[in-house]
Amino acid sequence: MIHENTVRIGQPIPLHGVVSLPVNKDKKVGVILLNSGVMHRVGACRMTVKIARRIAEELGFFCIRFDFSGLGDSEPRRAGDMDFESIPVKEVQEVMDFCTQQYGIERFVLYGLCSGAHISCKVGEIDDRVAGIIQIDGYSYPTSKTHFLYYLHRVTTLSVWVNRIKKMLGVKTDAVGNQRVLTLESDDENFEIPLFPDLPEKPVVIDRLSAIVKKNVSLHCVFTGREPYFYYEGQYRDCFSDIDFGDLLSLDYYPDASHIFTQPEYQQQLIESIVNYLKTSEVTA
Amino acid sequence: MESLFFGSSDQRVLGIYHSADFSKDRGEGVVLCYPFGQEYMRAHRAYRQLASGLSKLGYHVLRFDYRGTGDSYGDLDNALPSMWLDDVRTAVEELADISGCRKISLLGLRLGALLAQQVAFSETKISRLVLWDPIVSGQAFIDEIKDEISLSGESNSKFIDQNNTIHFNGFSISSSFQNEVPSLSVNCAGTGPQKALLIISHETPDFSDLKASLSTNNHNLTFLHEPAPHDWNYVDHVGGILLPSNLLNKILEWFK
Repeated sequence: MIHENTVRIGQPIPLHGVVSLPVNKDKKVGVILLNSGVMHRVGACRMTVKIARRIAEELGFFCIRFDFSGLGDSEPRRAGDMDFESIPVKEVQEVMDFCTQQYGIERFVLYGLCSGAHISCKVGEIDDRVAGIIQIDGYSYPTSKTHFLYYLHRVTTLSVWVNRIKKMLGVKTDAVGNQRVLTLESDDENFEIPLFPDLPEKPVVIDRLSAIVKKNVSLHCVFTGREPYFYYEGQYRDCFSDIDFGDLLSLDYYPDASHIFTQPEYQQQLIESIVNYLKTSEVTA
Repeated sequence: MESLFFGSSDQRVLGIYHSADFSKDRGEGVVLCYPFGQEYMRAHRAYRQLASGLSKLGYHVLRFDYRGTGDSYGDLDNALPSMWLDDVRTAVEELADISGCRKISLLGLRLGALLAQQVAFSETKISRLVLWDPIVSGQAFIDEIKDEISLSGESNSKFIDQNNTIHFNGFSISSSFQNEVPSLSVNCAGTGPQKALLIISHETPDFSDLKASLSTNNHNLTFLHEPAPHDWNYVDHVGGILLPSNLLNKILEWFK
């Protein structure tokens, strides 16, 4: 069993985190696991904890999971002159500084789901200490093949027609699968969802990913579900076909997995996918 | 606010301690007991706000993750209700140690309320008890989840496997846990805390029975019905959270 400690990063309003300390402390590369949305550092379905413990114990990586200011157990900080989008990036850099000073970690693999994946890429673009990025449901854009497959699915699926007819007949549907749909005003007042910045224009992301690849930073991307942003196995390479990833890109696609990994089989597959990436990539070289 | 691990050195529990506002320190503490699974994820922000509000009122507060949950030691597969009851007792001792408080209150939501109630009626140092939309028995907890699986139809997020483990919205409930949890039920016989608050967001027959039971046992009960969202155990695709501010304010007012 690996050892874990609580940490406070920065003053006067510290960020709260937990470090997983491997028995063998030889590795100078650590893994930083980021919040996604408004969920605290434990992560959706406790996945961040499970991932951190597994890779610390089995692969000997130092890991840290922490809360951005204003999330989880970290108090909000005064924003000063930083804009909302740059604050998380600065805080990841602050955590990297802390890990270097306190634990001698020099390079980092960043892990993020959704908004955490986007922040990982922003940090990777500007900070040379980033050795690898694991992004789950990160940047992606529909391609012409996406649109074709999407509409093909709609015209050939019975449930789509049933729902369309229900709508025409005025039958109210308040749930989509097992996802909740807000229908009451009172719910809205008592409900908080992440305020995601708009997805950047595709050229911005192409520049970002190109800069990352140019620095020899490896990318491990995992995508879930069947949504326009990721709809078929080869979509990521198709939508970023302008970028020469070489052997720096690895991809896994779980079309039937939920975005927050509620299915135990996909929780296990995600962990194995990350372990495999960290074992085989050259991030520790 | 300070995070710390406490408990046995090989099975440590993560807690977040909010010290009392220095100028208003009442010398009393409150331990917050989380609900389970997706409910825990959704309630985290509400609990932080409660803890912060209580510390401003002069209470020392400790919220913590049961073993096998959150940042605490272990896996959910090996967790048992009896372990979690021990964790509540350990948290009460820890808060008494770090704050110096002799009077400790317990507050729980859903399954956390059931656990809090069990401990409150077995520990003399518990001065107040807050039950927020409590699950009234361990059997009711299991039945509710099984009913939900039956109603929505089994999927690869909600199913019972060949080992009888329940998988529900990303969290599992082992057969050992299921075998043990029915022994828990809200039983208000005996000497309980000096004051109790039953706060509910909606009416159910279980809550009516509980209110009657608590009242007949003369527990200086305050009963509040504060309509608020209570659908804690759902899944959305972004991990949104519930923050029933009106209900949180009512709890804080009661502690005033």
